[in-house]
Amino acid sequence: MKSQRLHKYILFLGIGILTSCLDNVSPNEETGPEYFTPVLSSTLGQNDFPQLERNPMSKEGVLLGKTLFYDPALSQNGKVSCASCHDPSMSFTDGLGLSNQGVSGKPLHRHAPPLFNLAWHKGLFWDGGSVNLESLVFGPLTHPDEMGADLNEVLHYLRGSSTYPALFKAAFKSDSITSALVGRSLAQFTRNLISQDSKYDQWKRNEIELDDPEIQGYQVYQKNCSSCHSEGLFTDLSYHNNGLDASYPNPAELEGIYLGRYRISFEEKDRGAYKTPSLRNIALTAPYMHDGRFNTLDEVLDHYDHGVQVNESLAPQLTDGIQLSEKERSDLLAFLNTLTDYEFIHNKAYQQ
Amino acid sequence: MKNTYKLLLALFTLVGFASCDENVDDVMNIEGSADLSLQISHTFGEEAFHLDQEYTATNGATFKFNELRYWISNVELTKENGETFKVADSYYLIQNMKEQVVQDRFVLPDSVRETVVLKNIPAGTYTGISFAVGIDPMYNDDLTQTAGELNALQNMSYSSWMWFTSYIFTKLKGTTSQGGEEVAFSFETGSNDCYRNINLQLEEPIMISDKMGDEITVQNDIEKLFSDINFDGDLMSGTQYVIGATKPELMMKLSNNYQAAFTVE
Repeated sequence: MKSQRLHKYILFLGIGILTSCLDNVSPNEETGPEYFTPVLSSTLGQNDFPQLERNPMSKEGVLLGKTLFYDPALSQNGKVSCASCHDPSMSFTDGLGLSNQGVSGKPLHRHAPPLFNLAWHKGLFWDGGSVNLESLVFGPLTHPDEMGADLNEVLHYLRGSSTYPALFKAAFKSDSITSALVGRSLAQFTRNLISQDSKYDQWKRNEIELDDPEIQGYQVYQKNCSSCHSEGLFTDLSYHNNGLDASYPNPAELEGIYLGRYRISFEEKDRGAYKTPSLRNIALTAPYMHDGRFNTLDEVLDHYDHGVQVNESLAPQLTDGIQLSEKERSDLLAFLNTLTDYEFIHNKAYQQ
Repeated sequence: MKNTYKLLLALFTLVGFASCDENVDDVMNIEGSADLSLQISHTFGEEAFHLDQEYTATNGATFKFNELRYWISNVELTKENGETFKVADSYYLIQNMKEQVVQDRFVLPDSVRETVVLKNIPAGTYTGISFAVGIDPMYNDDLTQTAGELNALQNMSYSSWMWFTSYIFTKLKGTTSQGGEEVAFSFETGSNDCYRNINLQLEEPIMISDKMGDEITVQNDIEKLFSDINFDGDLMSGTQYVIGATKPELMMKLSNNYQAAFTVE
């Protein structure tokens, strides 16, 4: 009996030591980050919001990501933030074909894509070469013609700042600031950018009505555009050659940049293929295409009308182009305008 | 009373684990373990490998090197009874490089690192070692999942591979003369398809006890990395010979060569 009591005592002692130690390690345990899953509109056509088990979204993580997103001090010259090329008022684009607003002033080879509904994208960048937002963010952050950051200098800046350490601690319960946590918080912020309250969404939810040209434009869209720009996200998230060029130069120093998805997949069908951009917010995201070659939606529709270059990898849907009457075109443009999401671009939660 | 002692021993072990300073080594020693050094001895054929030294291959071509870097990962040891022990978080960057400027402005210091210390190997007799060249997909597909020495700061992930999510598994750079002028070459591998496992049987079993560690030396013959690589037009990109992400077939061949280049003395 005596020995049993002793055993119990020793066990308690052991548990006491264990828990007291844990308390010391993370004083924040009880008030840890508040995890959440965004609420979705049925009009996105998605069953659920894909969370990453290894980087679940928290309010604190998103806030830290937002702070980093708008902070030009991360860049080499202290003048370029993520938002320099991803401006919320233009659905997180920059209005430029090929930006020369990076730290080097040299023009980029790809057009800055809009940032929304990224949680469903399996491949990121125009050719899908990046496979998650966590990894992607190091690209623009360190590219010598974009933000040109030295990650070691970035960490030095963040660690010495008066505000960042508390933000990191709140988001990740961690006293150490690492490049991995920079990547994860920026991923949380960008994954949380959801556009689902356009006039189209409200119409689909029976909250408002569209006028006749808009409804007829919707039918033109369904008949001619929806095979790639699938309703819901308004992209099939796949890669197609839409006939912009007949052939593709391949200078060695550009590592296959003009080959499109081919440089990732090495499949012939992907030569000159790029990810279908969403039609959501399209009125805000000119110029158009992966290299921003078309300034207006009329130029885009002209391309599909009579500009399609035929080669072996051309998307089969475009072999004969897409010819619309004048009325069809104006109806379609009216419908495309209903996809502008003013709630999204004015959402204070997404802004500085 | 015997049970009480056992319980006390368990408690002390527990205290050891729970104590806030990370004295893990001491704790593990109680259970019988030690460190094992894995030394990688680089050669070119029979000669010791040094940067800037000129080597002549069996076919008469000459090579001079200025950078050799690669990841090894997922180290596993095999006991004589066939049991295996996986070394936790075993991601190591092996390198032999001169100071270099990255992205036109960051300086990476010169560095030679050819030995890794495998921590807390349980006591026993081991007859085999396996490891991979490259990073497994779970970590390679997300640069924010860090373990061991993995991190995005070492110029072994993005930079020139900005558009492609992967660590750069291997880098080998220098100049070569294939009978004529000296031409620069830059050979890199990366992407999940380039991950290669290497299984080696030790000549003599090694013993690990709680008192004594041991050492394994593995040879990597750099000459073998060039097996079956033709220095022809396909290899030329601009003014240098290049293997990299834009040439997947050559990357596969080079990855296979890495797999075949390791032997044990």
